[in-house]
Amino acid sequence: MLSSSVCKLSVRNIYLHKGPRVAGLKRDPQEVFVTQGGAKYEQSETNLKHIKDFLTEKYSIDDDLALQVLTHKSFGNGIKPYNEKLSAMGSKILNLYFAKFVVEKPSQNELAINGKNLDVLGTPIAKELAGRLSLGIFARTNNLNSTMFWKSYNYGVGFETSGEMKVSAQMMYALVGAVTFVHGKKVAEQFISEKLLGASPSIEDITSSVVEKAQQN
Amino acid sequence: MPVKAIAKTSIARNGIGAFVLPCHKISVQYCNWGGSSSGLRQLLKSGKMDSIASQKSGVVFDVVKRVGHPKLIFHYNNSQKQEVDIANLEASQIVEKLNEYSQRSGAPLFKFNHKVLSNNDSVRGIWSPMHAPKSHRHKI
Amino acid sequence: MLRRIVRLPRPMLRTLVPTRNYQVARLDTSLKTNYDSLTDYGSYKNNIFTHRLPESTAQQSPPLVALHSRLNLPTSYSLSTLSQALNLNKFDDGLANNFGLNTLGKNLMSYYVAEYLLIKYPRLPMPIHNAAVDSLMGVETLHEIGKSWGIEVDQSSKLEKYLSQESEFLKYGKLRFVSEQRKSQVKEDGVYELSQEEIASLHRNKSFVAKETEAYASAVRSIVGGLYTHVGEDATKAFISDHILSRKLPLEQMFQFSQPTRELIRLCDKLSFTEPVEIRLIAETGRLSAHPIYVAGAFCGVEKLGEGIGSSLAEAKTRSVVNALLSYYLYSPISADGADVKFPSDIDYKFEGIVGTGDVAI
Repeated sequence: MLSSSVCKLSVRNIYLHKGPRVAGLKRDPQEVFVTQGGAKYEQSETNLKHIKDFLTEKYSIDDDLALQVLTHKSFGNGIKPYNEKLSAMGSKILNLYFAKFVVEKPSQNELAINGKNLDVLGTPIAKELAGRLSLGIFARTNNLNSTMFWKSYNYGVGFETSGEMKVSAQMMYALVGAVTFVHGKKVAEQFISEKLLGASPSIEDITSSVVEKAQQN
Repeated sequence: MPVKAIAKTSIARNGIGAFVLPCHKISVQYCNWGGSSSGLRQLLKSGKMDSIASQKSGVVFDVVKRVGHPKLIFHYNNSQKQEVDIANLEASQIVEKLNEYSQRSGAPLFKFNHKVLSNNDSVRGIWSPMHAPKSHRHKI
Repeated sequence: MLRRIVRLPRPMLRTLVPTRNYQVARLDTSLKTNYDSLTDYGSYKNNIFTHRLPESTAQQSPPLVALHSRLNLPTSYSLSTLSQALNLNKFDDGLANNFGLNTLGKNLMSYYVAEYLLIKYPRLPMPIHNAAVDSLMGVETLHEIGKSWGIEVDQSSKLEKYLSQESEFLKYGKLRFVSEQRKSQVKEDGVYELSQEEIASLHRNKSFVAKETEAYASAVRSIVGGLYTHVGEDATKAFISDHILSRKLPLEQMFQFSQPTRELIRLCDKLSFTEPVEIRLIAETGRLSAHPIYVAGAFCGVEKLGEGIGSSLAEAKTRSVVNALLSYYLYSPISADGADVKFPSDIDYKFEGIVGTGDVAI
């Protein structure tokens, strides 16, 4: 623990292990920082294209922030900047936006307070609009989750079970969060109404089909 | 194992953002027969109590007629109650008591023998002998 | 639900991994909701509620009017809504309860508290961030806030009210959540009898939250929700920052490290520091002095990351590493001209802070 205050310039040859993980050995970064589909972890055109096209000029974000949006905590054991904080911001603003959205629709309900029908809060549709399943499906239909830096325990078991749905939803939350951080709440709300509600199929369509399917079962 | 969190509630700082008056209810107890309640009865009859109550709009005034000496009971938001005996006091003195106790927080009065009472760390820090420069260090 | 994994190597073929399918939210049938179509949000109606308190009745309740004035609520915030915020009963003669207001208030508070923490403390580890959110707007804290606002619980039964000749308007200014049956139960001093729901929640969760605590928290959230419905989001933001964000967060006391040295080294790896982490002794009173004091520093090359004082070498070392980690995690940005950073919900927002890159795993 105790050492003299002399600066040491250390040049070491470290063995970088290739292949399946062996406990205690440092793995070769060339092998680790690659997705299942073969995409390398870098700020390249191919990686960021889908995100950048989805966010047009108006809602653009930096390249390194865009790469952070695509990176999940499971990628490389969290050594690269990942999207947990961004998705925390995005999920909160989405929940608030959709609560306001459903409450402000014109209503004939006599129990509406100042024109806002609060009876719709707590129903399945209101809860699932900003939910993981609809956002995961939205990401898949818009091809936004084609390049995501994450690691599954088993890639082959399906969209939901492998964890891809949750990671895609987190990526969508992180996207909204990144727009909030860079441009502010007002612009982020415009982004949600333009790009999520204005898409086809919109997040509303996806959610209503999800809820209908669940009600039939 | 990475860092874990210890659950703690945040500390209220009444007045920094918004100020909520700690006294939320005053029970006014008077007697119709006894002479000790005459000051209070005069307050109630003249309408002065009414104007005080409309002034202190955040406080509920509960006027009760009960046999015995008159008293004021102040209810605070830390669940404490303060009973104040107002027997044989003049109307003006009762108004003084009302104003004094309605401005309290409900905590008992205490004497503080130090200089500063605060939630925050000292601004200039606390002197440390280990961080004094070599020329100023204490020589045994 | 257990799923068999197919593509693992031979020895693991027979392993079963527990997985949980995503459960889509279900409708609460006790509310008897009906609607025209799923996306026709204005048509939703809970049929067990038939009316709201008329404004004239609400104005006759002294505790309600006093609460309205004490919180400095604007005049457009109707007393009828404030009374609804204090009503948790579902089956109370068809009088509307505070569930919708509660949900709306919860969403508003969640957003503004999260925004505050993410901008002011961008590098907080996620478990600490969650604990900080609980510290500012968790159930216990909201209970304290509700009590500090002077909200009283309506505990007297109908019989007690009749015998004491209590005005019938008083209850509209008090917190109503106790059922009539529980109110007329004989209460033994020092004994708190759990209701069926509380016993069920005790079995489900590891910690017990009393119904009164939940009720106070719900009332506070509903008051915030009511403010949004009557006055709008700006006034609600001001209210939340006045009552909730003005509270002091004891963040330094909320960290519990188990292997701080490993964590610091991993953090320096993540931040791509080239120099190795070393802990050096800066000063000491002497090994044989009575009650010795050691000052240790965590260094990365020539730069000191943190310093700690201890009565043993090990203690000084641990404190220095912990202080280094705290100095990183508790970083709070300021703008270029030394002012506070703005929040995304501010009018003239400019992104001057940083985005947290995530915690380290050790």
